[in-house]
Amino acid sequence: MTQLSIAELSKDLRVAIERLEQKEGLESVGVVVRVGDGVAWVHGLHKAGYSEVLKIETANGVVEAFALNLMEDEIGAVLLGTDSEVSAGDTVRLSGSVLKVPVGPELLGRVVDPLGRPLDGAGPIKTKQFGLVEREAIGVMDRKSVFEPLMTGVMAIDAMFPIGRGQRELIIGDRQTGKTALTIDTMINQGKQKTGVVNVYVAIGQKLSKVARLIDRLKAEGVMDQTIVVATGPSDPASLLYLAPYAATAMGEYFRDNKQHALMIYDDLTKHAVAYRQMSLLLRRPPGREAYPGDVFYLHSRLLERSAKLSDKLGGGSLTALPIIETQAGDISAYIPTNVISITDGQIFLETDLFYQGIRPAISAGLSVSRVGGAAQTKAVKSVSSHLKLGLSQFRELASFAQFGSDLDDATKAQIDRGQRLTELLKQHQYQPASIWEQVASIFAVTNGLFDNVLPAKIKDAQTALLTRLWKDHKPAMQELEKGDKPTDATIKALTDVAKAAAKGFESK
Amino acid sequence: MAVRLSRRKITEYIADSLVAGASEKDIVTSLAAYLIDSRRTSEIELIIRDLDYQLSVRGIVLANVSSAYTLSEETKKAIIAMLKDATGATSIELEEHVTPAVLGGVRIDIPGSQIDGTIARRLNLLTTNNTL
Amino acid sequence: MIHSLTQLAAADTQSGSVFTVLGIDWQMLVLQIIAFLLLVAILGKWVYPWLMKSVDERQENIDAAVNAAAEAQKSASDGEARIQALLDEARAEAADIVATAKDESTAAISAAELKAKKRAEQIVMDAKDDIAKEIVTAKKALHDETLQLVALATGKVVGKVMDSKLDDSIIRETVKDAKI
Repeated sequence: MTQLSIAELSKDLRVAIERLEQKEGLESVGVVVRVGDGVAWVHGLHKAGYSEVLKIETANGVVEAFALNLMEDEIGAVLLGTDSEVSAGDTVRLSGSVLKVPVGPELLGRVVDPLGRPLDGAGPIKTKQFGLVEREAIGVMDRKSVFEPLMTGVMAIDAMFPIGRGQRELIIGDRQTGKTALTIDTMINQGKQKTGVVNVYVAIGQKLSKVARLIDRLKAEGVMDQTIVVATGPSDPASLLYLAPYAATAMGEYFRDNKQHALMIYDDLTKHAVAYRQMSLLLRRPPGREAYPGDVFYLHSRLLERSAKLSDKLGGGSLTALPIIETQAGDISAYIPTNVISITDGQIFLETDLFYQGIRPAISAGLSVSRVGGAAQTKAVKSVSSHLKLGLSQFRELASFAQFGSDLDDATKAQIDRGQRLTELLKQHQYQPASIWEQVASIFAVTNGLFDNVLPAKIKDAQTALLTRLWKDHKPAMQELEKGDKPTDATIKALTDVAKAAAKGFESK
Repeated sequence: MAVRLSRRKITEYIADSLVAGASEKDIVTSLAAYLIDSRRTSEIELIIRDLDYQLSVRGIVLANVSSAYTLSEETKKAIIAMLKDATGATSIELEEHVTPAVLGGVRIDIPGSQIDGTIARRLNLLTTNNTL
Repeated sequence: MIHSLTQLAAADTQSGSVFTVLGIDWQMLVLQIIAFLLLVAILGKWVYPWLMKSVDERQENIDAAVNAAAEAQKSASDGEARIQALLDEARAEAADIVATAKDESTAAISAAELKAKKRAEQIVMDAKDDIAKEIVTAKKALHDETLQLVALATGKVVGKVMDSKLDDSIIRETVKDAKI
């Protein structure tokens, strides 16, 4: 396909010339009155519809814009290209359709902009279908409650805040707390565990170097083949930043509607809200709290509402959303964070303090929650992690309290010891998502006290030893466990024995 | 402060008056006075565009025809007949412009719409619409 | 001795009483017997019990010592067994740990190998990708350039060929075919 063939080229040219044969007709036209800051004000075009695409004919080709302000005398349209090419007096035509983006499996492995144009230089994307960028969410009767797990491979999440397919789980935290890293691990896990879930990563105004690094990493881990990256950089017009999540959701919806499962990662919605604020202010819409326009809640609610688990009648596909929100100094009660927290089905809160203590992923056990994931948790993991969250939050409380005095009763001491080991266990290196059996075995060993004699610093080593031995000696049982069912008594016995043996090498005495 | 009148309201009023047979001079004078009074003189060009549109809605169409060569009478008649069909207008006035840049063919601009059958546009479409 | 026996025999034959021959004094004998019995009684009453007791004690001490020795021997052999068991366990553990370490190292090595292999493949893939991308870019450039040239040439030619008559006919066609 990537051959330089004269025949193909001449065929393309022929098609292009033949297209000119079409007849001319009476077309609605308008004219650009003013342009600037990415917004063009258009006179005429009385028949334009809301959010319809307008084509502005400039000297260097056509620049698209979409009509967002339909006023009595003029139309405010947000440019999808640079405003430097557009000048006052340019002719504007109606395209007759609202924004559509190419959707389909052809997009897998590609990096595109919010209009579906390739950014990776790997040739044009020829999809058979197009999806509406702004689409109404699925109705009540077409939904089903979430019940299948979406394994993130991050032990702390899968054990304490399980995410189900079709759920919206917010990832929130200050800058540099590992929010994106968490989602990369989740994407990698979909490839490693062969879950078949399609990843759609949306970079909204992210540094392009960061996006490039992410793509390299996904390629190196071999998950790019089931990933679509929709990228916008800080230098892109605000309109593209605004469109990016909607366009990407349209791409994800294709898989949802075709009985598949997709995972949307919106990185991040804070920048999206800021881009929308910029657009709204330039369109002269009245500002509200923190200068955001009045419909900034609707902006995110209509986006996230499109994530759903479809009913069996519609094929049972799902669209899971992991929106990211960046907070300032841990303030989750700011305007946009509270909005998105109230929209989503739970949040994973990442804390700077924990991050710098070396607890990574820096998930706060107390402030994080998953409101619907419990029903979707893998049975195997559920069977070992029932008291994990409570134990860990109690430990964090006790640990801070225990700093004041050394005379503690045995029960408290035991709790603190266990907590320290749990904390160690839940630390996880980046790009190393854990599979189900690994999670079950590790959590089982610590919560059942089999590693109580192992020094906290040695827990990870003991865990590695445990997992190596288990895989060597009990491979079939572990493969069985991987299927996610509750472990059998025989498996539990094997786990106990191997855990005891593995702990020997790392005991404190 | 009085409510700022939209251009649509102003031009609707003028178009109605013109159709009803009011004196053009009076209307122009009062419009100029209003615009100066409300400091909206910069909008005059847009108001004229709007007025063209409002008149076309009322059946009076001013068409700007651009071509590379002067048009024959026959062609003009054909254009007027076609425009009457297309817009349902009662009165059509052609304003001719000779623009060699269009290379060939004709472009007819009526308020709010356009028929572009020029060779220049086709060539432009060839290069802009078909890039890979 | 033979001499005294013969003397005794001679005496017996010579005199009537053996006692007298032997020189034994009856009274003396009785007294001696009484004294002897008295001695026996005194010894039996006071000396022997005391003696027997100390002998018994000694015997007991010896027995205890023997027992202790036996026990010590037993415990010594027990300890040996225990040490042996501990050693065995330690050896098994060490073997286990070594095995795990070996496993881990082989796993690590194979992982590293796999990674290196993957990396190599990745590099090759990237290179291929780059080449493909370049081809695509070149193709696009060629395509666009050709279109530009076609348009430019057409524009020039049309300008030369066109006259008002031809133009008029084009315009009429446009007007006639216009989609309304």
